[in-house]
Amino acid sequence: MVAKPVFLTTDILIFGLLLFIIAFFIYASRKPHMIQPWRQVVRNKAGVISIMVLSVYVCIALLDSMHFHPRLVNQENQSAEVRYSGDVLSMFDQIVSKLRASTEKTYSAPFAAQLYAKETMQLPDGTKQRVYPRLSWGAAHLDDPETQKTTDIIKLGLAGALKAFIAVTLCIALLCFYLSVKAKKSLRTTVRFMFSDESDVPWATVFITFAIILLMLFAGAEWASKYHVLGTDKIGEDVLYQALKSIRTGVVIGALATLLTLPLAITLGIMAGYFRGWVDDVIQYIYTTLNSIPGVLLIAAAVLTLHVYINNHEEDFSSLTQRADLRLLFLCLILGLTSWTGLCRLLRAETLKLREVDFVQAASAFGVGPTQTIFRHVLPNVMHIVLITLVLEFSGLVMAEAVLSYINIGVDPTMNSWGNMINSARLQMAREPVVWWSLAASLFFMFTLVLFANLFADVVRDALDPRLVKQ
Amino acid sequence: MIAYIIRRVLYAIPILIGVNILTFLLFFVVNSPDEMAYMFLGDKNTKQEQVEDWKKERGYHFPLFYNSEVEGVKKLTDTIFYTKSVRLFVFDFGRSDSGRDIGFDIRQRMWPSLAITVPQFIIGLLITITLALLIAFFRATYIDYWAVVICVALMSISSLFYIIGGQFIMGKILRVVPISGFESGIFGIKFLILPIAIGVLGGLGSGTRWYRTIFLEEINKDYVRTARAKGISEQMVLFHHVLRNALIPILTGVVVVLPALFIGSLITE
Amino acid sequence: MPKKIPSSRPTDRPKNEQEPLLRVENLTTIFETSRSTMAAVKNVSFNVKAGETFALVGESGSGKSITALSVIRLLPDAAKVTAGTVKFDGTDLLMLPERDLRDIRGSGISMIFQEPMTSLNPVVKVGKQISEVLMRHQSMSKAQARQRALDLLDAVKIPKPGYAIDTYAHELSGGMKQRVMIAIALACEPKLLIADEPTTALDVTIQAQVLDLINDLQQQFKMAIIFITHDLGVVKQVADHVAVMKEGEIVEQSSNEVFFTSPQHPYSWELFAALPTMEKRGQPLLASHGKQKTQPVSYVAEPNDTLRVNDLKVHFPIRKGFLKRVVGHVKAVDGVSLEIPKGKTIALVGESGSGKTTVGKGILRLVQPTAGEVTYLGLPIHNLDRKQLLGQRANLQIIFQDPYSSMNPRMLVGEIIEEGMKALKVIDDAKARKVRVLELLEQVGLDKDTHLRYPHEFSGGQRQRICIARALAVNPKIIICDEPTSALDVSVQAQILDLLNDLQNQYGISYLFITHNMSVVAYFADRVAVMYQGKIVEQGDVEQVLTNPTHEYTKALLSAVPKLVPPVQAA
Repeated sequence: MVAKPVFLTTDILIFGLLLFIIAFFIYASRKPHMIQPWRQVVRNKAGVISIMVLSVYVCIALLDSMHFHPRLVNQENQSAEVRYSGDVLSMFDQIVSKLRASTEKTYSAPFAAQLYAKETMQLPDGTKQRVYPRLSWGAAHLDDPETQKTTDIIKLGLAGALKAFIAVTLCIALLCFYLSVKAKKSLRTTVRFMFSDESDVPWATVFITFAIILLMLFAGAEWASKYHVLGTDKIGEDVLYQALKSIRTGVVIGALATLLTLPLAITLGIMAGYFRGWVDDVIQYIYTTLNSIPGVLLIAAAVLTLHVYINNHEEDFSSLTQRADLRLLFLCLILGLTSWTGLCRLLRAETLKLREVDFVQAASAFGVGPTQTIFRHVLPNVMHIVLITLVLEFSGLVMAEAVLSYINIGVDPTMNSWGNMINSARLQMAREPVVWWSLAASLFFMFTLVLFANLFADVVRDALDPRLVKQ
Repeated sequence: MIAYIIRRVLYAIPILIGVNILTFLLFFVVNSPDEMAYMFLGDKNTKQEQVEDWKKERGYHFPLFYNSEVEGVKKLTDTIFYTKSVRLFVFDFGRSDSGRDIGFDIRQRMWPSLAITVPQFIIGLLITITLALLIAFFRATYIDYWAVVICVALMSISSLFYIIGGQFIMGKILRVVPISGFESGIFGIKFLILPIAIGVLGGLGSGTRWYRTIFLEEINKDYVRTARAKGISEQMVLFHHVLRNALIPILTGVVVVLPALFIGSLITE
Repeated sequence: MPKKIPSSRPTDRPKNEQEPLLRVENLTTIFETSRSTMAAVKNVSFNVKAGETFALVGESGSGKSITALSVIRLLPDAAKVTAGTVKFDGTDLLMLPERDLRDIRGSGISMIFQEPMTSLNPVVKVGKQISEVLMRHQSMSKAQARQRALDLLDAVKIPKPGYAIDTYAHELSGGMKQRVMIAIALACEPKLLIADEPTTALDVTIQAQVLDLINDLQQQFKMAIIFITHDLGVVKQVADHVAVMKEGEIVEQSSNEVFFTSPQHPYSWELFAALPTMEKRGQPLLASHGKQKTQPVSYVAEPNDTLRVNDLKVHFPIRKGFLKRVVGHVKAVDGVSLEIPKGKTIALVGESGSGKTTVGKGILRLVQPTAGEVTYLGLPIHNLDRKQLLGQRANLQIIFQDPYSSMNPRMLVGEIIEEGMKALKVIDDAKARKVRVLELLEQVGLDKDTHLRYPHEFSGGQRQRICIARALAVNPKIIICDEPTSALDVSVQAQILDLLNDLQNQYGISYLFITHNMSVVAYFADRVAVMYQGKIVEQGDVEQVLTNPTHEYTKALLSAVPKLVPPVQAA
């Protein structure tokens, strides 16, 4: 074994979700009414662009969710029993191991060759002087950064662009070829069809987005191999690495928070709407009460409680990572609990409407019982609301995480998250001169995710909402 | 109408009780007074007597719900639940763990909080409605399309950006507004500008987009066609007919948001 | 392509008359979506002379409303006029800048719409909505406009105009709202009024009043009317000229007399043929099916075969006050007694809100009756517990009015038809059920592969056939048909009525046919019960009730129905 895998609870959940989504699309592909709205999503330019950008984020999050204990290399005794490190690493850490390992002493600006602060250094001639010391890793390959840096950066960028260009051309060529073989048409007609208005997918948009994404990836990789592209923070860690690692936290919270309380919201919402009477009263009471407590207060109380619990049961956690993971999961639950009431109310209202609709009445004229009616007639007809809510809430949750971490009731401080980055960047803003890159990086990465999630949510809502479909 | 209001008020009572019990559970049951005492007094070697003293000082020495050691009504009143939670109904907040009068704290902080949220709310509402109406006027044009894109982009910016950015610009570069704190009088107004502006800007994207949807929904209704068939100009149709109708869902939404005003501004502060 | 028939001018008018008030030539309007374009109006030409009523007739989707909306350019965003001219009083409306056109809308040409419920602004007082148009076009002061609005409300015969002027639309009934709409339209005494199905959403007695009103006002104001409708009876009553539209084209234009005695186009004949009348009783409406008419099966009537409804009451509580006490009841059904003998059709007739649908649901116990008895095959249906009721569900079935909401859009047609058989264990074997589904589909005249498709792929008429198949699946003895044809066009209605007739003859099924359409009753029912405010005011054999009504309400109802005797085609 190269490494011993570790399954954190959130890892299992996030992969479970992935499997579920894949299974859904396989199932839906056979049902025209289920797949039809998704076709519409793909047809939409904003839809494809956001799907592509989001999938980059999701891929990073997934890679970062495959955890393991790396194997310790034992030089002296090859035959000794295999030992594993106590650290928990992820697949993603392995890929960007260089970024993770290359730490500096303290702050350094993006693409800098020197530290951001002056230090007293002993010069070779024995005199002491306050200078900006060279970085131990960033731009270390240059002899004279002053003169060489700009050309080197351009050179690396061009190399990245070239690689990206080759990769994009290759991919597009392969895809066109595949499609032409599949459609049993000549390559020429296939390509012409792909770029015409009749094509189901706006291929031109897809290719341009693909090219831009690859360009950023390749150029970024080239630069990151020699520089700290986004600088380093107080303890000298690479900011790009932190921002990338935070992706998982954001995606996990955005995806899992609503999902975890989904069963509760669906069951209670449909029950309240279908059975009415006292069931409805009780359920309405529960969610009105929960809604009346300010969300921040609820979250703060719950997180503090968890704090106490963790402090009192330290022995239960084998590692810091596990503890942080539990806190993340708990935060998801709490965020879910503060937001399920909205969905519950929507489902209740829709069910109230549905139970009076003729086809439900027809079912009761056939003597179909309530359980069957709910599963066969109500649930499938409210699923679009559930899906829309899931997608709509995603971006709000990502932003909520940041706000909560900012006021110190969010994820574990040891965990990489945009909120934690912003929280520590708050103090850096007061410094002279200002250290802006940490804040800028986290805000930019979060903004991109949230923006495309919002755009995606818009397209999905337009496609799924039957009220809009009719118009 | 009065019956309706009375019913709503009466309906609020069980909900308040529920809220009360729930917060009580969150703070005291999951997190027992003993544990709090240990947390507060620091290390784990604290003696049991110290803990008891600490609890007594703050009134945490009673049992949670039911005190079997005393007689009569006191069975119920000499409990943490009664002393800490039930009295909230008469706005007797007691003292916090650090010994401050919570009721006084709330009263003192309520005014600055309101001085920010109320103008922010009104100005924000006016601006978003105006913008949304303008966008609706140019519906199905490029202006509309890009306005929506800008709204989505604005929505996607974390509120933290506005907060930190605002503090940075005003506090550090312009040196006009202290980053936190509150003074009364004329100077007070100056200190309010920043949070108000931030609040308005932060809500602009989502508000405008939401109201635009409401306006567009109204524009597609039959009575608008009737109004157009009367020969009324598009501006009049929008301002006289559509705006009046759209205000109903807008104001309904606003009423729901009102309580959240007080909480939201806490973070801004 | 149906050949175009040149507009035949009436012969009794002088030859050298002046330019018509409205001259529409080669009008083409298309609907454009990002992926497709569809022509809604194709190359339509017609003239409307000052003071005459021009009726545009057609079934749903024929483009009649879009034609009218094109004339004053109030089309929905997705539609646009691509060709043609519209000359009104000498000016080409299609060339006019929007600003100038606004001066014509509301003063030269005005319009009333189908849905009085939604066509008035709900938050603006009625008076203001009228005076608004006066202030816009006749630059009246507020006080003048209000005075004129009062006069107009009086002119459209709204009782107590002084009170009505300060009400909001929701405080008025449907008929009153349509009167307000007419007042708005007539405020500036337009030369042309476009009425888009102005009475379709109204009850037949209200329709008669509104039609009378429009007619009176037309005489008074000397205006021309473009009257859009699907109802040939109404056309006969109001129109001077008739144009029949089909799939975006005008297939026939003629004067009223010519059209209703010897229509030219085969499509017009089809429309007339599909009309149900008393004279056509016992014959299929559409002969083109090619199927042999099935002879009624003979059966021996048993006393238990009749479903008896005795003094059925369904009351809904009204709750008020802050404790939501029950302060009264809406007596939706208040003591209804009926008998549905085997193999017969009982029509339950009434206007909206008369409680006829609730009777149907009360019999099936989809709504729990407050009091009364329903007995069938010796069993008290009203009193059965859940299990016993389940045993009777197969005997009593229902077909709904709206073919769009009566089927779960997420289920395949096959699953929909199967559901009842499964739930009631009519056929337990899955394979046998499949066979039966295919059989049923064939019986209602649908393709076999229908069962693998979703309801949304079908038209309204086809959906109604599926609903009938679903009800038939459990071999019911009685089917409650709740306005099964009201949402359908006349030609589709004819198909469904023929189908129901066939099934009755074949299986001896009884129908409780709930409807508001008197001509369907005359054609289809054996007995009729007239419902008014939750009570049955008159019942008896169809011929007797329809020719010799005794109750005042029945008389009023019958006299309100536009009379129409379809022309007889010479063989």
